[in-house]
Amino acid sequence: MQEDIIQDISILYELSLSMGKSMDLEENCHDFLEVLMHRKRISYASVWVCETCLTLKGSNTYSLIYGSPNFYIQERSLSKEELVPDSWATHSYFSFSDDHPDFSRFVVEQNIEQGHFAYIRLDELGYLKLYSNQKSSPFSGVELTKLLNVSQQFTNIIKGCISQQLYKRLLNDSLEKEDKIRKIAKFPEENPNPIIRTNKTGIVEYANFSSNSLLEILGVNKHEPLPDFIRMLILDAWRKKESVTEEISVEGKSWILQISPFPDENFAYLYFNDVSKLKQAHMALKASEMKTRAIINAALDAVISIDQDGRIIEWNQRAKEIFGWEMHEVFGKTISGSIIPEKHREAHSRGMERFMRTGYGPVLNKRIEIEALHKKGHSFPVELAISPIKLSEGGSYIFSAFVRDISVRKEMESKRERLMVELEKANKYLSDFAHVVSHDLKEPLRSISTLASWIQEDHEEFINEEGKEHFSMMVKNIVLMEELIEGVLSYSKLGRSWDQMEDINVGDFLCDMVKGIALPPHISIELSQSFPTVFYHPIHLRQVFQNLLSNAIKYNDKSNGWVRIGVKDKGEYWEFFVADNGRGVEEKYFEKIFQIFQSLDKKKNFESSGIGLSIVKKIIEIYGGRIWVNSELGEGTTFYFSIYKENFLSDSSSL
Amino acid sequence: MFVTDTRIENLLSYLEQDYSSTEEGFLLLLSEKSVPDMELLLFTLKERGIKVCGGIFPALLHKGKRVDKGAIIQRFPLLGDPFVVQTQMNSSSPLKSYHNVTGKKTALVWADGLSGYTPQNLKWLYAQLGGPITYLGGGAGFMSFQQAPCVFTQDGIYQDAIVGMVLKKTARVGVSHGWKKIMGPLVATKTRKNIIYELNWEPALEVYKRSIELAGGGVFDGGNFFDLAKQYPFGIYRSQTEQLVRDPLGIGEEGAIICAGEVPENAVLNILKGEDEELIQAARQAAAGCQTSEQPLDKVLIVDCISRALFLDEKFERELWEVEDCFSKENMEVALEGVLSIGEISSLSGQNLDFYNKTIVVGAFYD
Repeated sequence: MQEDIIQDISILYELSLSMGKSMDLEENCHDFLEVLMHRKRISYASVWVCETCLTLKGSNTYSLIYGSPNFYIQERSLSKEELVPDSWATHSYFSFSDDHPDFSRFVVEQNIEQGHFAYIRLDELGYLKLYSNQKSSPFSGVELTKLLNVSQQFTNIIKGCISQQLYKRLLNDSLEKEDKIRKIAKFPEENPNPIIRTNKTGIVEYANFSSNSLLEILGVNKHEPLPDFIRMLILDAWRKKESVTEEISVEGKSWILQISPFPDENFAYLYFNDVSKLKQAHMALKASEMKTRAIINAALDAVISIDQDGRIIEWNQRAKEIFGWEMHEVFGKTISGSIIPEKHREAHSRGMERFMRTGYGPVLNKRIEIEALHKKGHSFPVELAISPIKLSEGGSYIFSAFVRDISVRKEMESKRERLMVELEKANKYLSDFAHVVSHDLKEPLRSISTLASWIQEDHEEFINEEGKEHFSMMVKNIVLMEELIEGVLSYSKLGRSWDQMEDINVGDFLCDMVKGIALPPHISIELSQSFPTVFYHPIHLRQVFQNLLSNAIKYNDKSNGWVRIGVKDKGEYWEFFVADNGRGVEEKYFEKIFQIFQSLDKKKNFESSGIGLSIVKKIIEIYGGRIWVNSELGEGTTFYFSIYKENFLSDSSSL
Repeated sequence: MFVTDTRIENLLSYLEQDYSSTEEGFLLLLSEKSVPDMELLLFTLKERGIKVCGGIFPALLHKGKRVDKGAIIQRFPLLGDPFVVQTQMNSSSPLKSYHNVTGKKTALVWADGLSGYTPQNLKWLYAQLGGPITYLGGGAGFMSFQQAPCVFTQDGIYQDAIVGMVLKKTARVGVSHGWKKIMGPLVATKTRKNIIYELNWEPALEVYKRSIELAGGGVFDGGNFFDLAKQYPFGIYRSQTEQLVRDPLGIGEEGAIICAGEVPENAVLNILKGEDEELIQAARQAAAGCQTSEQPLDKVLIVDCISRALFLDEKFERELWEVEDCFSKENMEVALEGVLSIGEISSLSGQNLDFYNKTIVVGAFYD
């Protein structure tokens, strides 16, 4: 009996000293349970602790924090109902064997089919679960009772270990948080801006790394006073007992200096923020704004801006001139009531409303002509372009308009239209007149010619030589008169007939034409080797070459006269020339010879109506070309004219 | 099978002659006086694909006698290859689990008997292989108590390690020692592994000497420690079974006592004393503990502590005779073979693996 007690005491003694050698949860479980298992011949021991105790969070689950040997371990997390029979859950200890009907229900280990289980409650912490596969149960009530005190000690140590674990976790969390804050807050040393701590008199006590260059510029070392202008600010803050913020300038740099005094601690913090670049940017922005303003004010167009409620927010000098309103008279007033005529106001309101609702505005970003209202009440035409400007994403709009007064232009256009109508009428009248006149004049001329022939035939014997000569001259003049009238008629009819134009090989064309001319024996015609094909009216081309050739032959006084026709490639156009070695034209007549009814040789009895070159010039110009002359008196004359290579049908601007 | 000629070629001829399947392996128990060139032997066995596991022991047991020379070879069906557990291993080391293997299984385990790492190696092995398995084995080593590589598989010979193999065979184990308390309790107030530094907060050797002298066990004169100590081992109390014996092997620095086997700090110890007859009867008890008539007996392996042989001296053969007689009386005629070990290994009824001292473990293998 005494021996048994001694043995029990010795085991309890060993058990009680087996734990608490460290604050490690697993080590304590191992040390205690190894002794318990060896001395009590226990096959498996496990410690289950509720989650609430482990994590301080509410949960009905129990976690396996230790189990040995591990080949029995299967479940690691269980609900209380799965771990402990409900009816025994609050008992200090209990045991059951494989003959218990619920035995298998509470076998949460593997490789166990029979044997004996014992549970010892570890206060609110959880349970110590023991297993033995001995034949007879070692978990009698007496044996388990013996273990209660040492189990309580085990419980307390486990609680301590868990508390320490929690504390460590909380401490780690706290340190992590502190570290995060430290990183975010950027302690003064890491701050990229200068931070300086001074005493009340402005003597530097601390300066962070970023202050070095500033202090160098200020010529101040640590433990030396700052310049007076900063010390004055420190004193000011000290007196006010509140932060003072001031903009200061050091060596061309601008700084915002905030001084925060801590009179109780006898120091002040000086926070410097370099705003030089910001200031430069601000100045640049201001300059840009002024420039823009100047441009707007100097603009030839009125620049008017309105907000999305239609109120005028921009009104330049030109707007004042166009509409008569001063800026102060219209600023903030609706545009509708200021410059939009009453008949257009409703349409304007509808357009604004639709744009704000749908983002669609048919008149926006286009040049439109519309009527505007002047301060004096009269309407006048304007041309305007309106652009919407979005101020922010999902935010409001402003609308800017460039407005141009087109009253004068409209007046001019109106006048031009009137003139054009009148001109057309006059042209038609002239054309009709020329036609009528030439037609009506030709008829009496034919009668005069016929009568003159009859008189000459019937009274030949009564007419002397002089009379005959006079008759002959009269007939010639009648013929000349007819030609003149025909020429006027032709001239007045000239115009482009696009549908009759065709590709003409000029070389072939000239050969044919020359063949049909009865050349005087002293004149020869020379054509160049090659001529291009031009797109021209064949009758017009014939008129041009015929007139020029005719003149060249007619006015050639040389016994060995020649006429040469050729062409040069001038890129976009062909430059034709008709040259002769006739008597030439004085330079002063170079322009005059192309005028109608201007013939230089009337007095010299040349048969000339004075209209041929006028017709040539008109034809050339109708096709966009140009004609000019070079000549030397007594040496000869060369006429040049141009014909476009491409189908030149529309623009009649000269070459 | 006992062989006297342990030259490599002879061992190889026996092993090869008996070898028939890759699912078989050999238990090879060598007497320390008959150790061949182990590296060459094991290399050759590995080359030839022969699986082997065993150790070198102070002496062998054969036909009821202690034999100082020779080798014991036993063939077993295996559940897996022989394994090695070394101190650097941890729980992630690959070791085949036999948790889910049903039916016959027995583990033969041989440890470096003089290694301080044996207890933790055994714990690790037990955690890996599992409980529902019969363990049988002992500590190998040399009579000189000088530590050297002494356990092996075909892969090599090791120190500070345990080797073993899991057999596809049923075994029953009987464990007993017969030592009784004569004094105690003493508290091992300072220990480290197998060294007791303090007993009852005093230098261990002083307390031990004083206790033995008080018990009339004789006087230590400085040179007779082992002669006296072999009669007075320590016992660690355990419920409902014999105390776990710890054999004092020598004296350490500053009055420490070196034991065969771990002594936990704050363990409560008794000093035990053995009577010849009680020890001999304990052997019979161990033999009886492993007998069953349910299956036919195949072979018996005895792992008996060298210190028991030294203690019983001439009477030691009586211990072996008692074991043999115990089987004979039950009509179990079988050749008894075994080793004199430095520590014994077994698990009682599927409980923790223990490393015993001064104990006899009898394992009976059944077909």
